Parts: sequence; structure tokens; C-alpha cells
Amino acid sequence: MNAASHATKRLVALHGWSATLLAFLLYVVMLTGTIVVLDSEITGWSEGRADTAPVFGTRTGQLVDRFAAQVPPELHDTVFVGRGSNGTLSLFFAAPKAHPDGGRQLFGRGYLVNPNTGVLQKARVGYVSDIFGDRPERALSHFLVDLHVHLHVPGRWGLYLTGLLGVTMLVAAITGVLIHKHILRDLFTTERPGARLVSFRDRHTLAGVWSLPFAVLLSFTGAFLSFAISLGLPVVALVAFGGDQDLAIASVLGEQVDIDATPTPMSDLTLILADAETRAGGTLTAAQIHDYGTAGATVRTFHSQADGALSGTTLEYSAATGAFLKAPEIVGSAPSAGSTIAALMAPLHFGNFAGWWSRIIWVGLGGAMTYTIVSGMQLWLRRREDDATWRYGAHALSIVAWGLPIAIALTAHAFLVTQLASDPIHWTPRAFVYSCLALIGYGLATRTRPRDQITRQLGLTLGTLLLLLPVMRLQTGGLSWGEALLWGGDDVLVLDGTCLALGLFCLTALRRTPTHSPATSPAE
Amino acid sequence: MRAWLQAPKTGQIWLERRVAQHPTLWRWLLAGPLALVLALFAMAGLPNVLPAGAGGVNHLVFPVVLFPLLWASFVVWPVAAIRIGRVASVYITLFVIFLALILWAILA
Repeated sequence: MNAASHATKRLVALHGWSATLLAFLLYVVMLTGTIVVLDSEITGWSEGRADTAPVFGTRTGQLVDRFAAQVPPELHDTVFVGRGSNGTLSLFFAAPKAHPDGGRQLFGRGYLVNPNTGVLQKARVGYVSDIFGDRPERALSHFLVDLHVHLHVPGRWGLYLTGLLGVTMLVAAITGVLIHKHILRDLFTTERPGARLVSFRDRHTLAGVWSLPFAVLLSFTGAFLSFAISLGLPVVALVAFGGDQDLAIASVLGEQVDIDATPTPMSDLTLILADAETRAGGTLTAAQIHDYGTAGATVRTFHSQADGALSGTTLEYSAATGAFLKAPEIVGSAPSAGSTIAALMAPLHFGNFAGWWSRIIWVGLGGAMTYTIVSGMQLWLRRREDDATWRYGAHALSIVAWGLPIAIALTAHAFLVTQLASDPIHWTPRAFVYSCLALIGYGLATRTRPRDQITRQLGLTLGTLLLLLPVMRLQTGGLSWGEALLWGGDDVLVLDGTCLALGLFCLTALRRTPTHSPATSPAE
Repeated sequence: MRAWLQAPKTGQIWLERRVAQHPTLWRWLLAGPLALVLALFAMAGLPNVLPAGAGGVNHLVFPVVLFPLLWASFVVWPVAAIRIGRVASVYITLFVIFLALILWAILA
């Protein structure tokens, strides 16, 4: 064997081991990532409302002024104005404060107000994470996003872990390119029959090669998003700003450090918001006021994407004079290559830059990548099936590959039921943990059973749970299909349709599968 | 011992010969801990030499953006390379350069 063959052999080993060592976590991140591409749709589906009446109106400025007069002046440091639960206007007056978990976080008073009548519906005191986390209708989508972003590992460690998974995926993608000498030909590979090892390799190659550019893109942007704040900012702050992270953040964001604190009446916020919406071209989603009540106060308005734009728009106004100041860059004080690249990362990772079309493509390719991970593990384990230890690995793969979507489906059911009791924030993560524990118990109890039988049972369970999900949503007070059609509830129709289609696919595919053939058992 | 004293025959420097004696160990070291350290040092050191650009942030953003790519590349190269000694030379040179940049920034 010559030196080049040795190098290829080493690359094949790195390709396999890089994915194998963290395969289960990688699978969790990929599957949840594929699902949370539809994050805002899941929120709309969960909310069960087609009522999207704007919360910003003629009374917005008046309401902000009214509540600003009621809070202590130190909480005028930062004011958030946005959409709250059940069509309310959310106001949050806050200032940075040391958080018990470490670091500093905005702390203050949050109000939910009827945007038309001005009647106060709810008031809370707390940190920004507690105030904005208290959205029952978002419990399911937040849970899935948290699982994808930091696997529910607390603090920065979760971001380090998902960043590491991104780099692992990147290594697997780069080595995949290097070891495949005929990538173009592999794009048109057809599976060889007989459920042999080569058949598994064909399937893995086909899914892997088609999703290769996407794998590089997603793993790179995902690793960047995980590491940028958790690791990049502290490292850059340490070296370039003498360890001062606040100064580093202010420099990176191009924020003005010295503010004119002379007390000054505020300009009419309603007029500023109206001008911003016209100027941005996209719907106003939120606004943020810095140093309310001073001559240096600024209003930042956040807007959804305008037609043809890759991402949303942010505008900045003087809150004292109402004058338009600038459209701030995502980073830096002026347009630059750095700010353009930073601004591209999120839309490219989330696939939300071209409406439904980009989301559908991202979901499809995310599904292909998820399948690549599972089929790669199948291939890895098939090559080692003579070893008893790896046979248990194959059993564990079956349980995890089917178990995770089952646990997510059970969590969605639990979310819908507990929404009736107004406590989904408490129960949604617990339902996931209990589902996982039950599936682990099932896995231990069935470790000697044939994998075909386990695959069949789990597949039928998943199909049934998915078919029942729209029924459960309707029975727990969700929007009916007729109402959704009439009132533009696209989210409800699309997600219900997807659940039904996937549920039927699971049931019909597994009913047709001969029990002796392992070829069509996705998690084998 | 004699091999150590011999003059390089094919242009190999001392380090390359030393590394070539334990290639597997060096591949693990270079693709494992040293790859991470190099990527971290690059992220910390490059802001001191890259241009800031019009927005004043290019020198801060590019090293952070490049970090995952650099780390992955630093992992793959020692595994793919046939002459591991050359990779070790490059890595150690980069390590010294990045360390010097970091120390320069901290002391300045």
C-alpha cells in the first residue's frame, strides 16, 4: 500500500470516527434543526389563532409614555416594545443587573397591555429571559429551538457543545469530499439490491453527496453562530479590549458610548414607528428605546424582510427629535465586508430568506442530512456487526433514531394538553424528559428482540402519534381547517398536512415492509 | 542517534526528521489539541494584523467567522498529509506567530 492509499485510509477513518463519536448528539441537532426551520410556523400552529391584527397603532407612543412615568427612572435605560401573548402590546423597562447565574442581564418591569384600550392585562418584575420566556404559546417552539441551539445544556457549555458538533460535521463533510473520487458520478448512484453492505453504502453516498454543499454551509454557519458569542467575543475582548466585554460589544455593534443625558421630552413614538414602517418596507415587529427621557435617546425599530431582501431591516431614530438617524449595520459603524458576512450567517443557517420556498428546500436538505447521519451510522455498525459491543450500538441507534421523533411528537401532544391548564412552559420540557426515559426503558427491555420488530413497533407508534397530532390540536381548542382557510391560517394547514402525510407514510411504509428484510428499516 | 547528527538529505529540517520517527503520535497531537489551540490563537491574534475596514470591525469579525473553518482545516490536514513533518513545521511556525501577536497585543 503506497503513501497516498494510507492517507485515504486515514481520511476514511477520520470521516467515520468524527461522526461516530458524537453521532447521537449530531442526530439530535440535525433533526431538531430540520424541524425548527419552521419555528415561526410552529408558533403560529401552537397559538391556534389567525388573528394577526397589528399591536402597533395610534396609542403606542401614549402607552409607552404612560408606563414610563410609572417605573423608576433607572429602568429607562432600555425599553422594549413588541407583541405579547394573545394580541397584547408588550412593554419592558429595564437596566443591566448582575444575574445569579453569572454575567449581567437586563432586569426590570414587564407589562402586557391591550393595544387599543390601554387596559393592563399582566405585570411582572424579572430578568429579560424570564419576562420574554413567559409566552405559553411559544413553549413548544422555544423548547425545540433550545434543544437545537444548546441541547438544554446550561450556560455557555451548550453552545460550545453544538459548536463542536458543527465543526465535527464540517470535518466529516470535508473528508467526505476528499475520499469520494467520483462525486459527480455518485450524484446518480442507484442502490444495489439485496440489503447488502454496498446497498447501505449506496444510500449513504446518495444522500450525503446531494446534501454535501448544504452540510458544509449549515455546519459552518451553525458553528459560527454557536461560537461567536460564547467563545469569539470573550477571546477578542480579552486580546483587543483588555478583557472588557461590554466595550467589545459596543465596538462590534458600533454603539455610541457617551450619551447626552440631559432630561428631554420624547418625540411622538407613534409617528416614528409609522415613518419606520414606510421607510423599511417590511412589517414592524419590535422597537427598542435606549436612554428614554434624555437628549441622547434613540429608538431602534426592527422589521421583517422587505420584498427581495435577504434579512429584516433595522432603523435608528432620535427619540428626542424624531429624526431618522441611520440604518445600523448588524456589526460596525458603517457598511463593510465584515458586517455583510455577519448579516449573511443567520439567513443562510435558518433558510428564512425567501419565504416558504427557501424553508421547504432547507427542510428537505436538512432531512437528507439527518438521513445521511443515520445511514452513516448504519454503515459503520454493519461493518462491525460481528462484534457484540457494536451490536448493542446498532440496537441503541434504532432506539435513538426512532425514539427522538417519537419523544418530540409526545412532547407536542403534552404541550397541547397542558396549554388547556395554562402551564405548557413547565410541562413541555418535562414531557420530553419523561418520554426519553420511557423510550430508554423500552430499549433496555427489548435489547434481545430482533431489530426488525423494534423498528416496526417504533415506526407504527410514530406514525400513529403524528396522525393524532392534528386531532389533538383541534380537540384542545385549536383553529379548525375551515377557520384557517378563511382567516389565512397557513401555518395550521401546512403543519397539520405535514403531520398527516408523515404519519401516513410511516404507517404504510412499515405495513408493507416484510419483517425479514432489514433493507427498509430506516434506523437499523 | 546517528540519524540525528546526519545532515538533511532531502531538504528535511531537524523537526521533520524528529516527527517522522513517531508519525501516528504526531498526527494525533497535530489534528487534536494543537488544531484547537492554533484555531483559538488565530482568532485571538489575527485582530491585531487584519485591517479594520470602513465599519471598524473587519479585523474582529473575520477571525471569529474563520474560526470553525480553520479548526476543521487544522484537523484534516495532518490526517491527509503524507509528509507529517512538514505539517508539524508549519503548525509550530504558526503557533509561534500567533502567540507573538497575542503577547504583542496584551503587552501593548
